[in-house]
Amino acid sequence: MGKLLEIKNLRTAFKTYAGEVCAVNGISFCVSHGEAVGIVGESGSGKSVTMLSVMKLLADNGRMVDGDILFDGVRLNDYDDRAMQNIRGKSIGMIFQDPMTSLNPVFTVGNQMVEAILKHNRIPRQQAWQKAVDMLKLVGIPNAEGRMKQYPHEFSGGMRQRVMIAMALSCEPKLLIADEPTTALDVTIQAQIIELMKELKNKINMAIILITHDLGVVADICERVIVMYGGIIVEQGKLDEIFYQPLHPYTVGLLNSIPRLNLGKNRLEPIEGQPPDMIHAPQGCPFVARCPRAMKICDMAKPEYVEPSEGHGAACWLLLKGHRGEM
Amino acid sequence: MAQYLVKRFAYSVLTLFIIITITFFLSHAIPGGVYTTEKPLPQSIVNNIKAKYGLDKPLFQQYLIQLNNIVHLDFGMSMVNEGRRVNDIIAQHFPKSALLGSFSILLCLILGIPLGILSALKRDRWQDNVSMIIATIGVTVPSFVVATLTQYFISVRLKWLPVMGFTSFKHMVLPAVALSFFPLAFIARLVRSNMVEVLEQDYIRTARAKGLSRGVVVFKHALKNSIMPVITYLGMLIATILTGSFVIEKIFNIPGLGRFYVESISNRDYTTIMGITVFYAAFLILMNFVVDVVYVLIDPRIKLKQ
Repeated sequence: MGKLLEIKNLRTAFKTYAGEVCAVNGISFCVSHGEAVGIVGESGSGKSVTMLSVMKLLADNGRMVDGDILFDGVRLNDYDDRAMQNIRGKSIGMIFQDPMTSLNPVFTVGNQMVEAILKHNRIPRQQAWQKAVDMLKLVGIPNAEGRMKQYPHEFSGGMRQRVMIAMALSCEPKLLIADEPTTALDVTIQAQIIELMKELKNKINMAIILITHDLGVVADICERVIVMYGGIIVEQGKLDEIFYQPLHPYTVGLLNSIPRLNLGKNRLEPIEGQPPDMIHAPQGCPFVARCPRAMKICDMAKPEYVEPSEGHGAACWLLLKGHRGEM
Repeated sequence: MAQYLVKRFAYSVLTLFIIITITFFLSHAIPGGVYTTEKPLPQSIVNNIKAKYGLDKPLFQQYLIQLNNIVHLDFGMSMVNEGRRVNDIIAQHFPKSALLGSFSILLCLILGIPLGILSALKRDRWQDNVSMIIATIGVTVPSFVVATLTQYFISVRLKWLPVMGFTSFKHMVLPAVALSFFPLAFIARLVRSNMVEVLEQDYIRTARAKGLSRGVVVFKHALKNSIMPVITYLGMLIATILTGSFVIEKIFNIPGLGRFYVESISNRDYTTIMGITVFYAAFLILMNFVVDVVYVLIDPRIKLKQ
């Protein structure tokens, strides 16, 4: 499988009252054609900012300060907003966290779907409309023809997220970025949406980047996992590797904090402490303050990212010092 | 729908009735009367005038008579403008005020909305600062100051436009500018603040993620969502501006309705006061209804129900 998306040493900063603050601090990863990659990490770890950097949809006060983004062989760094318009929606589709607010309340669902299709395809309106109806059927919306003429407020949350997915897929993108697509939905609907995404992925062979903080969702759909913390990638690897042989203490903590019914524990096991304050970014490893295995060096210098085995690596001094320990 | 309209109409009639009652008793509560002049008139003449206009009858009877007239859509004879019916005064002078008013509202919209959009898009940059300074000036400087200043510089010094009168399109420019100064600035500020808020909404990000151009995002997705408060304001504005501004009409010597309204009050021209008030109120009620209908057309989440 060839590489579809390649991000090299991406750094994205935001202007704040305290000067420029790096939300994403030098991350690199690849996504292959047709691959499903999960990006996990807690709020503020830089997951969404990374993907918004790829789409060049950062807020006005944010900008990419360094790095390369290669998509399907072209360097997106050189693209201006006008050129990006032909990438967005066409080659890369994106769906967002909150389906309740992600659709424009004053236009019909059909109108919003058709405009996306017409933007990227030179086809008559009639045909675009039919295409939109087909997409709605594909994502399992009953009575698609009638629903096209309805407004977003006439849809439930789960149905709206289906509309968002239909819209994002209507131009057959090579990559779908799903930014916490199930976070705002209740559990049963979550399962339906995940099931739908899995099904569609197999049907149209597109790559998916799934941003989430739900490891269960990741396990369900992703082949590879990237764990982010404090604006860097602390660990990445295949699904099994991350779940069964985690390298980084943060990943271990994340896995331990998943509630389990079968172990007879009554209390959740949290990772103690707070995520780092990015305005006063730590000098060393961002996780040092909460790490149960922190050493002196962790506080002083950032660990390099290393891959002990092909495709599975972490940024942790424990690896660099040679003792893997018995994590 | 039909039920809604009937209900709405009934409420409007009730509102008008209350307005008529208040106006009647308030205008008669002002000391003096039609017969009050600088030199006191002989009692016999005052009595004659009172008898002619029915002012000698008990107040409540006068009220009933006027109410009856209004129900028949007849506001009676003007007590000051000799030999003219109030209906005729409105019919003759309202179109002039309305013409000038429509022109200035058009000006407000054509300039105010783009100015607001520009400010919102270039937030905190020089374009925003400049247009907001203009808007602040527009909101704070009274229209008569704008009127006299433009009259002096543009008409008297530069001789580009006529000083006063109301006979050609040229005559309309300066009064329209003076009249639209405040609402234009107000609309610009309304659009700006709403646009800034709307541009940060999730659905704007969705629209951009679909690859839509900036223009489509702003003028289709953002504008329709940020125009609501402007519609609300516009309803009020149309009613006020179309019925004429006393100050501007006085300064530019325009034979509009606004002048008659103010003069009728100082002259205690009871029938004219009532006529124009009722006309104005009915107009406002109608505009409010139009605004509510436009709401429904713009935002599908709003329904015409009470």
